[in-house]
Amino acid sequence: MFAPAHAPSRSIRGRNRSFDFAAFRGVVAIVLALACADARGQWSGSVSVVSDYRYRGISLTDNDPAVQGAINYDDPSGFYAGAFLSNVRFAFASGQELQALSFAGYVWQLPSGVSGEVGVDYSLFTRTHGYDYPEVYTGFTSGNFSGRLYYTPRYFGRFGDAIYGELNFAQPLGDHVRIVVHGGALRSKSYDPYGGSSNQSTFDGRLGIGFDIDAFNLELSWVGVSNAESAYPFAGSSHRNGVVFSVSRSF
Amino acid sequence: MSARQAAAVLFCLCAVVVPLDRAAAAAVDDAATNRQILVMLRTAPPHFRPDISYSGGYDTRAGRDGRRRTAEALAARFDLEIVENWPMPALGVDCFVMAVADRDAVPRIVVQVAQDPRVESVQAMHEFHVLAHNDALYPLQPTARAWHLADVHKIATGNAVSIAEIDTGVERNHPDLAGRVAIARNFVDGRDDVAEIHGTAVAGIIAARADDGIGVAGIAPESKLMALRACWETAARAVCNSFTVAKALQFALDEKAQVINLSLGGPRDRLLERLLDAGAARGVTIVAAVDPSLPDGGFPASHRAVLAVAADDVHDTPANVLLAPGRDIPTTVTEGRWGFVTGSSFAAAHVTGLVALMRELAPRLSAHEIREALAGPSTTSVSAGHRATVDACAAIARIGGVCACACAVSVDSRSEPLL
Repeated sequence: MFAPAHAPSRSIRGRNRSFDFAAFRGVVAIVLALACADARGQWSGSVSVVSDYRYRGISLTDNDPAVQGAINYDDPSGFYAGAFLSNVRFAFASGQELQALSFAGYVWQLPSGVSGEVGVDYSLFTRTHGYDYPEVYTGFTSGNFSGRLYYTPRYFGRFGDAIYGELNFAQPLGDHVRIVVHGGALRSKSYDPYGGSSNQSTFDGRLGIGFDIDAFNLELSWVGVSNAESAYPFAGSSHRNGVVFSVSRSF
Repeated sequence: MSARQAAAVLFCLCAVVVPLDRAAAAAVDDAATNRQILVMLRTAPPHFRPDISYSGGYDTRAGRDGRRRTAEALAARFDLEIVENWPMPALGVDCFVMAVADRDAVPRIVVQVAQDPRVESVQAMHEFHVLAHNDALYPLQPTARAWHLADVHKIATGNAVSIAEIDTGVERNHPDLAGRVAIARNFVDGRDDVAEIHGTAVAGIIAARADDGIGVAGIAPESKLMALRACWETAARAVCNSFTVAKALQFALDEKAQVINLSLGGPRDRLLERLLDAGAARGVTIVAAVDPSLPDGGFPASHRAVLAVAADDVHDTPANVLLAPGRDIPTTVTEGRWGFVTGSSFAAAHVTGLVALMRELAPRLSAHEIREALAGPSTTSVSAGHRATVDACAAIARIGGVCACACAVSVDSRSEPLL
């Protein structure tokens, strides 16, 4: 078993751990506070099984299946918060662990129908704490289009900031079928074995078709990513582009 | 997952879903309208969610099931039956149609449901009817002379301006409408290509093919017409309800209609008022027919966000009304025929077509500028409550300084171009 060339050290993990859990607990507290504050707020969530957990094109399960759950609270004021859980397994790590992604933000809608949002999210891993990282984001949605820009000072624990931009499009084909298209670009630092670094771009894309059958959503997608090995500390040579199938039940 | 496995999964999904799509539409229960209420539940604007981050658009399942649960809880609490629902993102609500067991209890139930904090708003379902008569058949086409239509078409035909006609069904394969309907949707039931007289007649006035050697020339013969069926014809008359009209309005906003024609009338309706306001805020010009039998012209003509239009032979019209040809209008009717129609529905259709011509020439015109241009030099008195007969040549001259017709006749020398 090899360690990634630029995986954060154990000492960094130890220092951040208490902060990480505090951040996660903080978001949970916000959700509960919002929920208690206004009975008009709405809860929603989902449970999913995916054949491969692709996050911005890269597999976080080493091309294996994952079980995921999410919960979301929308306050009438426009504030929202929630959390997402998934099993993950990094190619260079020894076993299964959990990712807990908590998020909170504010969304507003213009008379034109275009909505904007700002928010923060925090990704926490239960074993590989060195990969934990926070993000801030801003985005828009207009009809079937949406776009977001994310910034993090340490993407998956790597030194140096990173910016990720994405554009998404969903086109309904009748009441129960839709086409989904996603394109993303990551701008991050790449390190060489001699301690030098340079900026690099990584692109990912997704083309899928989704079906609503009763209370379930089924989706079949092709997912691809370029240059993943140098952008993600855990992406090994076994990583491959391919087809992903998911079954979700929203509630 | 291999390519072969993916293909097998896709085939199975299609086999299951295609029959679902065919059976999706529900028919409107005509008799049940007066014991139904509309319950609006809030929907949050779409935002970041890790579980659906790849599919971004509004039409995701996220939240829908939660609202459905809330609706079911409300139905159980107030002894209601859920009929159907429709998302209205323009208002940030999901609109549920619920049936009350006893029609006499509707006002009381509305008050009770409104007090539940989970409910954004609630109202009774209203019925609307179209505003037309088709009992006169005389060989006249008033706009050919009064509006100098042939001259006007030399400078504007409504090219690419999108018009939403919310009405009964339009006969899309009528020889004079062939290829003119860009989008057709049925918000009443699941049937395709329902051809009805009123909708077909309004469509002909707005957008019939010009210079094709047959029939009539529409006011905006190169516009992009959306035929949105929200009303249906019964033995006695054509009617619509709050829910079907609201669905069509939401669709028109989604499709970025620039002009909406509402040749229908009924009681004041809060849900429709909000959708009209949302449309006006997005710069959509909404034209509505006046009901001459009502003191205020009926709704939606009485709403501040619309251009209210009556037939120019009607004498007792409410304040702030535009007058346009509305008697003995030759136009398309069903079964590939043509006929003569009368009513403020058709006066509104004329103004809708004219607004499309104006928006072709000046796409960024505000609603106020359009109203001023249509009302002409009597603008001041219109604001004070008087009527104004629409003059197409003068209106076009006012918005662009373009002399469309015999200018000495039509152009008001006192008016200034708005662009």
